[in-house]
Amino acid sequence: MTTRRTCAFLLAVGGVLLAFDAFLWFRGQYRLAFPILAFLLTLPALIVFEWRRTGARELAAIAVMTGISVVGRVLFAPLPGFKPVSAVVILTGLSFGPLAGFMTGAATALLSNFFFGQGPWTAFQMLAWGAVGFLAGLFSRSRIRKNPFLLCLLGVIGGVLFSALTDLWTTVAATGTLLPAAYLTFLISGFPFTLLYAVSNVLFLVLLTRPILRKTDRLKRKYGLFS
Amino acid sequence: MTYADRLHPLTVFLWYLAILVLTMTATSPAALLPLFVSAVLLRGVQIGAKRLLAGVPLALLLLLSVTAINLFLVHRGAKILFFLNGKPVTLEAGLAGVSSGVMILSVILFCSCLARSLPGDRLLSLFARRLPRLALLLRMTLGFIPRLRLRYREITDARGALGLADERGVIRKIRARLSDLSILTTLMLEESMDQADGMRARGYGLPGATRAVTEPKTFRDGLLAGALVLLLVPALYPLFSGRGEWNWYPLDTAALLPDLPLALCYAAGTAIAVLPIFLEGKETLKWHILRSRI
Repeated sequence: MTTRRTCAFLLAVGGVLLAFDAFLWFRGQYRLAFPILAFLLTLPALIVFEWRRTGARELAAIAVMTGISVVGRVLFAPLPGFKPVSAVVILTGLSFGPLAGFMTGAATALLSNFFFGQGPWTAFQMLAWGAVGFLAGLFSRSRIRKNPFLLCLLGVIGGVLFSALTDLWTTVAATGTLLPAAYLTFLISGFPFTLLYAVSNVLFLVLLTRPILRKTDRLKRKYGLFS
Repeated sequence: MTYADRLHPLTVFLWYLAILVLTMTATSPAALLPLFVSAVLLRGVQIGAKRLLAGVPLALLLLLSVTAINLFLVHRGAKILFFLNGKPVTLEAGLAGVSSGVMILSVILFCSCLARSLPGDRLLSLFARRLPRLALLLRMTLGFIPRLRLRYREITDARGALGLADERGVIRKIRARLSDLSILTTLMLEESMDQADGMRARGYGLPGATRAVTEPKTFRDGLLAGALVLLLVPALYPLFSGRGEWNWYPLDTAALLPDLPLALCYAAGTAIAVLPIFLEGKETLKWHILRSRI
């Protein structure tokens, strides 16, 4: 299977799913429509990832970072909401770029849910962590990427995005529709958790930025990765 | 060895995908209830009654909370039970909540059944051909996870042996963990580069590579795929035609029992969910009968 055929296949799958999703939307079947939409939003990154023929060394580097964040999520499982995943994903994005950040986030959600249980929520978690990694990756060539304010901001955005997307799934799954009032209630009642996500992200970023970013930057320069 | 292990992963995946689509789009109780019962039975066949019963408290908690969410957040419906803060709490919302809870429980049960019938490695082998780079990334990561743990142990042992594991006080403890993590990152990233070079040396990414097919498609797969298509046509008919579309607001008790064509469609959907119970149950039964009692 060549790269071109792989991408054509993915585009075809995306097209069919898009049509099906639009139909479900029209029918009011939001419980299935929302997870499919979340999956569709991760699809462009997958297509670019396959299309660019990401090299072996880049793949290996992304795989190590994903491994670290999966192990982190599993090790911190007893503490609800207190996970190093977003921090590791943000740091990968800051160092290796938007696509690598997205893939690390999405792959972490997919793989760690083999331990925690797969379900429609996997698509939302993949999207949330992937988007945070992508967002961080946008600053990978910027001079302010080690700015503590930027890191804090990314950590908070990561926490809020994760909460907003998982609450979106909870609302749709529980009520069958997307009632703005119900969604708002979920967001407000889940605020302590959102706060915990954000604070733990910032805390992990404060602790991990120096040790991890130095290593990944050094690796990038030494082997000429992601250039 | 379960029945699913002898099938091609694609057959198992598509079968469960069909069940999940049917469950998540089933809105009327007449469609949902048989699916829920099959989910419970299938999971019971897979893990045994004892472990299934152990999950009941959590399931009840989920059911109760979803019902409560609907009762207090959705204010539609005609049969008002009481008012809370000037907003009506209706019977319909409660029933819709119970139905939502049952749907979510069925999805969770079917997902865990899928995870058991199609473990991660077989699921990944399914995507290896279509998404080669993503599949490779996921597999490399799965390979790194045990190695990360091993290296972490080695690092802490080595630092302990060097007398660097002075861990009096919280600050020192955190510092020690951070430097362990820092060493681990360097070590694993360098190791992964060696692994990548090894892959390249053996021709990774060169054109013309073929793939070893380890999962044969057999007659049984063809038979099951045919049965799936035949059953899916009537089972998906209500979704695509909009017939039997269920609405809790207002509640129409006369529509609880579907007419014959609709009932046949629901029966086809239920058959998709019931067949795995028999296929897997047969194996479990055989295992219990043939097991030596010495």
